[in-house]
Amino acid sequence: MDLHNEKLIKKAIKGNKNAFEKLIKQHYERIYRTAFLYVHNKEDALDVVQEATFQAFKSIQSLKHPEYFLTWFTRIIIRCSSQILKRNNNNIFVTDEVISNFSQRERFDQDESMSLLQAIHQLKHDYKSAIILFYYFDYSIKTISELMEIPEGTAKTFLRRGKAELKKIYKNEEEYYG
Amino acid sequence: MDKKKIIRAIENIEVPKDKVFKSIEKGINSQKIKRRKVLRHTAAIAVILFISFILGLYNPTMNKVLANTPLISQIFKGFNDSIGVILANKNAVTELNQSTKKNGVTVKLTSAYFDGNMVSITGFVNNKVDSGHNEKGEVSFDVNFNHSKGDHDSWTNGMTTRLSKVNKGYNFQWKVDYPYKKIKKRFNLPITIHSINGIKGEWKFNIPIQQEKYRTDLLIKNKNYPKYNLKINTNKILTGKATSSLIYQTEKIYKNDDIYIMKAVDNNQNIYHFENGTTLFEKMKGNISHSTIRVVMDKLRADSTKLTFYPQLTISEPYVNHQFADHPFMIKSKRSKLAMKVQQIRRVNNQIIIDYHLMGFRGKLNKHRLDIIANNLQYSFRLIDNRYLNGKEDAYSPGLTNHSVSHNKVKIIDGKTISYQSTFNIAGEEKIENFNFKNTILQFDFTSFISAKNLAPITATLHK
Repeated sequence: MDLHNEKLIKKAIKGNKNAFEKLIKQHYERIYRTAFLYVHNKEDALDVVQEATFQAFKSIQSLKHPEYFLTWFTRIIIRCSSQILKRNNNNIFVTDEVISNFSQRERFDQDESMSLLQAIHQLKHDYKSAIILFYYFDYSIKTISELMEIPEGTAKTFLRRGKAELKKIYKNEEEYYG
Repeated sequence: MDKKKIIRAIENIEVPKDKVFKSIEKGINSQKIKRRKVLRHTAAIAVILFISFILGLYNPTMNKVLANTPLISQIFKGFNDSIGVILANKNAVTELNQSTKKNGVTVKLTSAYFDGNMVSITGFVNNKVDSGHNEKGEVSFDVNFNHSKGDHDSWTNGMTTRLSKVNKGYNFQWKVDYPYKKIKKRFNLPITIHSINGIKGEWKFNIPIQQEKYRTDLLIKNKNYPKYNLKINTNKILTGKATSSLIYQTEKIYKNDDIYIMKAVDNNQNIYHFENGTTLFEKMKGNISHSTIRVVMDKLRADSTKLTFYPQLTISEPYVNHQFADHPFMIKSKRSKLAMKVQQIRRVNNQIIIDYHLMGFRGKLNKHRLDIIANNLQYSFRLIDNRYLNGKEDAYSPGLTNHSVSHNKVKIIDGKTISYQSTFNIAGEEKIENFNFKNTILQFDFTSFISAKNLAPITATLHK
């Protein structure tokens, strides 16, 4: 963590709203994409961002180790995503605006990415978390276990099973999308 | 699974920056989430709809980029560099083809751009770097610019490196803040890489950097903050093709005070965000520290005529020193009402245990606040053998190795009286050789306990 960020985190912990806002905005892409991986639509992902920011701002004073800011916030995103998924009963929502844009969009050769994201979406919640934290966040098994509040052995199992399931689903998706 | 494929797929998720920022702002301002009108569709459609696989899918300008300069754009896209993509579209990126091979490692520089304050250089290094001391997938450069040496290189201050694995090697991007006050439109930048992943060699390059056009808008406004012995003078905004930079001066008595521009709002209520600044000039004139800072901001809109800046001040506090042997004693912050009363200091084997309580905080402190203070106390002390201090205020000077310790374990003794206990190990990784009470001083830094101050906004008219 660079010095500037450490300063910002310490300021945020002390209740400085601007520092907190700056800090969260530094990571906006990662935050949004993580939320999206769980809820799989833009509107809900934005709700997760809002709710997670709200909860984090309320509780940042409890963050004892500034260096764990991002892992701590990731945990909040995952928790908020689960809450929103529960609230929606896992339904997927699409806005009018996006539907009207759809016909204008071109299809390129990105079926591979789409299949992969679709496959991640279909994973069980815990496997999904392990896969996202391992591949996207590049976290170690130890960090994943701390973040998911599970033993390291369980984190390894989730990751192994997640990989196996992902391979299976991904293969089927690829066959489906051609 | 292929990690790269997964990351690529995830990074292809379109991020609606404005909306995400708005959600963050709403979250901070504790607004209730408003549910929207929705239509239900199948999961498969939703996934197709919401993922923009390449920038061109949702932005016609980006399509043009991809058509005109696919390779450069793809490289910037790989690094998630939207400024690079925009500049590539405007043909404002210089393509390079400079390659050097040393000890089997080939480095090729492929592009450079200079926009506002930002210089980007992209390149490729072959797989041979994997035989260095880093783990596979990691690449670290020991590099200097403009014939500088070691850490005395203004170019590498704040430099970031991005990396992406490609066939037969790695693409990389260095981003640096242009370090000089006067912006040259064209110049050559000598670069020397001394080692890569520990593999020695001298990979030398001399690359052209150019910024053909940028606009300068003056916005002269001086604002005085007598309470903080501070003046901020906004000066001008330079606008490149993709970003703008604000240049401002500060005059302050406390050299280590930090001023951050948190945001600016223009006459049309557009909000501009700021990055970290580059100090272009810093000099003491009498007892006043004069600085000139250039800070990158969102690109200034053409129809803006007035800007209001929202600065924030982080107050610095000189270290407070006190002789150890004199306890009990009281030390006071010079720039706030905070104080610390040290009640007892004792030695148990190699441990020094200090009991103290803090004073001057506003209002009653809850458990969370007490925990935060406990956390910050771990970083705020230093015990120093004063025979080695020699007038140095900075206890981190190399001469104090083995003669000072800072790491301490903090325990809350009584929340009501804000009483804590700190325990220092004087024979651990940090140590004080030949410790005795008489020669030891306690150094305390109140800085992290003083809240940052929001300063009155500065409104300035743009003279285009």
